[in-house]
Order: sequence, then structure tokens, then C-alpha cells
Amino acid sequence: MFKDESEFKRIVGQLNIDTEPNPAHREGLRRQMLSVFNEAEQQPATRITVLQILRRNIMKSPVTKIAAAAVIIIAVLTGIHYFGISIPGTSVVFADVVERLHNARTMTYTANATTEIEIAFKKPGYMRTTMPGGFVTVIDWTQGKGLSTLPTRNQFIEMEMSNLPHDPAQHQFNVIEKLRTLPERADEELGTSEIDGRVLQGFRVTEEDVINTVWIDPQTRDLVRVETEFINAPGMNVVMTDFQFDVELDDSLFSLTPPAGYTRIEVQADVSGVTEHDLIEYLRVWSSWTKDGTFPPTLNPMELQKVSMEMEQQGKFGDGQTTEQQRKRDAMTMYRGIMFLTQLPAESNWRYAGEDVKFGDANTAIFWYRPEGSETYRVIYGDLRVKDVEPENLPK
Amino acid sequence: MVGAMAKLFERTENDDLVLRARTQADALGRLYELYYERIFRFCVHRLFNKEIAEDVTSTVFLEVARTIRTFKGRTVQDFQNWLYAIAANQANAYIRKASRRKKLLETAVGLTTVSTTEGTDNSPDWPQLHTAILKLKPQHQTIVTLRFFENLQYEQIAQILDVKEATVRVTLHRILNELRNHLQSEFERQT
Repeated sequence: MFKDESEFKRIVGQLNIDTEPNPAHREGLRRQMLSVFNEAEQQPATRITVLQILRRNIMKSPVTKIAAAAVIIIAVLTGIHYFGISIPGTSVVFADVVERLHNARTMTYTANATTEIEIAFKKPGYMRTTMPGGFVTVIDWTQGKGLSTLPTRNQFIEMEMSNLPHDPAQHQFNVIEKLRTLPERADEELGTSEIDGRVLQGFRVTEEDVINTVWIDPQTRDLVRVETEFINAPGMNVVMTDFQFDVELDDSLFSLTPPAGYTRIEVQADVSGVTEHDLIEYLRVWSSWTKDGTFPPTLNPMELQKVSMEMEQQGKFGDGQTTEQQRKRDAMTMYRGIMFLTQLPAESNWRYAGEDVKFGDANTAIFWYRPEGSETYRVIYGDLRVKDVEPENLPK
Repeated sequence: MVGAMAKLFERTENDDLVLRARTQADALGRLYELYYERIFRFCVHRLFNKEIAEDVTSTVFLEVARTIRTFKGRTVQDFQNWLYAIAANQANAYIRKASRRKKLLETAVGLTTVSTTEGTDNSPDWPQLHTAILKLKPQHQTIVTLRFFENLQYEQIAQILDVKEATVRVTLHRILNELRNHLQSEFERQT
């Protein structure tokens, strides 16, 4: 057995491992790579995302209104995390699907997470989402502007998103671009399976912390279903179905003009410079809303509406008598806090353990993550102090 | 002197290639030629299967094609570190699935040739060694591969993994202990 590094090196050196490349793969990949490179230069940025919002009948308290406003912005700006999918394309079956994705002027589909959402996309950067209850949001990513309407309340929310990345390649929200790159990412073929009465061919694509399962109809070459599973975020899974391409979508569907007679709730979302402090403030604000001073049960923005509804129904929030200005401020605090999370890379290994923990509990760690390049973790405790902790001393 | 100057010139030329590759396909193609084999070899060492290694190598270079316009590095060394980082992440993502790890374990034996020229000691053969390596954390597997199969210096491994050099040294020390324990247990079990 080896005693030290040099002996281990000697052992490895004795191994004769076949690493001779296949010239056909080498040449084929070269062509494919340069094609992708050239294509990336030519294609305009197109973006798509998803929204969630509280339903009218539970939007009674200021707390849930704030949650609604925050969730809108959070979901808009983080949607790609739930729809940042890829489809494999090593199979011939995908050729038509990929072609369609490349050429699509419009695309619609249904996304089902905790709520069913209809999503429509139109070049160059328009998208529209429709929630149960008629809640509609339109976003023009080319202008960085959005409009949400709540027909049952005759209210609308205008959104302006500043400091979005200028470079499309860095843009998190570029789901269509991701769809277009699906062909190169297949890493597992699942064979056929019957789903909803159709025999479909499945493929799997694994990214950093996301597993996408894509189902294609081998007869019609239709993209039928995409299931996205988030390895480090249980409960955030999304299923996308009902894909349609190049259906006629009138420009009026993407109008940013609010309906006459509606009253305005305006939100400005600055996506720059969020830090750990923003998360701490979010946790502080939330604990001030709850009657018992507990922190949110989850930090998953896609679960936020559900959690808010349940807590509201259970009477867990205080009376929430706040000014409009305060509500706007709180909404922004929530938004920035969640944005901090969504910007953390998978390597940060962030964990949230704040459920049922009350503000002031100095002995309980409620959140921790490893900053980029750091050897230690930042740990936030129930009294919102922060300490640097060695990995081996993290809470179990 | 001439050799040193030539080396300097070569380095400068390749650095220039990295800058040009952000906008010029021919420069990217040349970088590809420079690094394809190295990344493929890394993937084989990491994944023990040439077909899987081809898939992951493809993912790496297609990722490069999509994102090189925003790559901030300026030298060929930066580019190499970036490539290895992408390759390490992609390989880890592949291995993360337990079913795949099992498949790797099952197939690697048949895909490699073992040559233990000094076979009189209890040195592990390749199947035993890779079985032990696969029991490590993904990042630790990466460190072993970069250090012993790619022969990279600690400094470069630290840059690729975005950690301090001292961390790599300490971690590698622990990894070797862990590997030794795995292998010793296995050896004792078999004898």
C-alpha cells in the first residue's frame, strides 16, 4: 500500500489507461462547437419566465399583499431557475424539435409548480403569464418593463427592472436560449414510456443541481413534457406541458398599457448589489410580521404564496397595520433577500433551517452558505448574528 | 536564450488567441485543438468510460462556445483553468447521480488495461483504485484527478477550484488517508 503522495503518484503512473480520443468525435464536436459559437452571435436575446401570485380571495391582509408584490418580482427575476431547462439532442428524434425551437416566433406552454400557469412567448422578448383567477403579467424584456393586472381587484402593478445584465449570455432569464441548446446536453436516454395515454421517448439532462427529464413524441416529433427537478431544493419541481409553437399571438396580448379604470401599485426592482445583509433584513421583516416572531418556514419563492396563504388562514400573522410606503419598502426587502439566495451558486451549499425558530434565538443556526472562494461558511443565527464557521462545525 | 524567447513568444501568441476567441471562430477553433485532448483525457480519468467522457467533453466545449464572449480571463492559463473548472463541474454533475456512479463502477473494469509492473506488493490495480476514488466526495475526486492524473501543481488546482493553495494541500493529505483506508479495508477483506 502507498505511504505518501509520491508513492501514490508512482502507482497511478503504472496504470495504463486508454485515453486515446476518437477522431470522429473530435472533428464532429469541433464543427458543432463552432456552429454554436456562430449561432450565439446571431441570435437575439429572448427571455421567458414565470410568475406566481396570491389569489384574490386570500389577499386580505397587508402581509399577503406584500408577499404578492414580492413574489411577482421574485418570480419574474428568478423564473429561469425553474425553467432553465435543457433538452438532449443526440437522438434523431430531437432533430425536428430542435428545428422548431430554433425557428419559433412564438411559443406557449403550461407550467405546473404549486400553481398552474400558462406562459406565452413572442419574439423579440415579450412574455405573458396567466394565473388562475385571471391574474395576468406581461413583460417586455427588451425594455425591462412589466405589467401585472389583477382584474378582480381592478389593480395593476408596473415593474421596472434596472441593472439587468446587458450580455444575453450572462442573462439568467434566457430560457428560450436554453431550450435551443438542449440538443447538446443529453446524458441519458430513458427509453419509451406511456404518459397521459401517449407513448413518449424520454431523455435526461443533468446540470449543476438540476435534473431535466424531457419527453418527446417519437411519431410526431413534438416536445410534449419537460420535468425539472431541483436537487438541492425539494418541492420546487416544475412540470411543463402543452407546448405549442408559432401560434398567432396578437401584439395586444403583450401590451404594457394598463386597462382603463385600474389603480396602480408601482414597484421598482433593482437587481444589483444584493448581499447577505439583504437576506438578514428579509428574515427580520418576516419575523416582525408573525405573531410568534418565527422566521419563514421556507425560503423557496415558489412556495411563498402557498405558505403565506396557509399562515394567513391560520391567523399566524399580526394585524399588519402599515402604511403603503412601509409595505412597498417591505416588499423590496423581501425581494432583495430572496434575490440574494437565487444568486448564490450551487457550490455555496446554502441551507435554510429557520422553520419554527423565533427571532432572538441566539443558539440556533437558521441559514448558512459558503461565499465564493471562502474556506469557511457564513452562518446566520436566530438573533441574526453572523459568524464564520469551519465546515466541520456546521449544524448537522 | 532563443528557446526562452520562443517560449515567451508562444505564450504571448496563445494568450492573444484567448482574447481573439471571444469574437473569432478560427481562434476558438485553434484553442479547441490545443485543449481537446487534455479535457477528454481528464474526463476519461474522471469518469472511467470513454463514451461518457466524450459526452461530457462535448458539454464542456459547447458551454465554452456559448459563453466565451463573456469570459474575463486574458491568458491561456486562465482559459485552461476555466476549461478544467467546467469539466470538473460537468463530471461531478454526471457522477452525482447514484445510478450513474454504479454504472461507472460496473463498466470501468472492462474499459481499462491494468499494468502493475511491480505487482509483488499490495498496490491497488486500476479497478480497485477507481472504486476507491469514486467513494470520495466529487470535489475530492476532482482533486485526485487533477493532481495525479493531470499532474497539475497545487497552485493551479487551487485556481481551478477557487480555493486557497493550502486548502488543496491539506485536503489532499486527508484524501490520501481516506483512499488508503478504503484500499486497505478492501485488501484485508479480499485476503
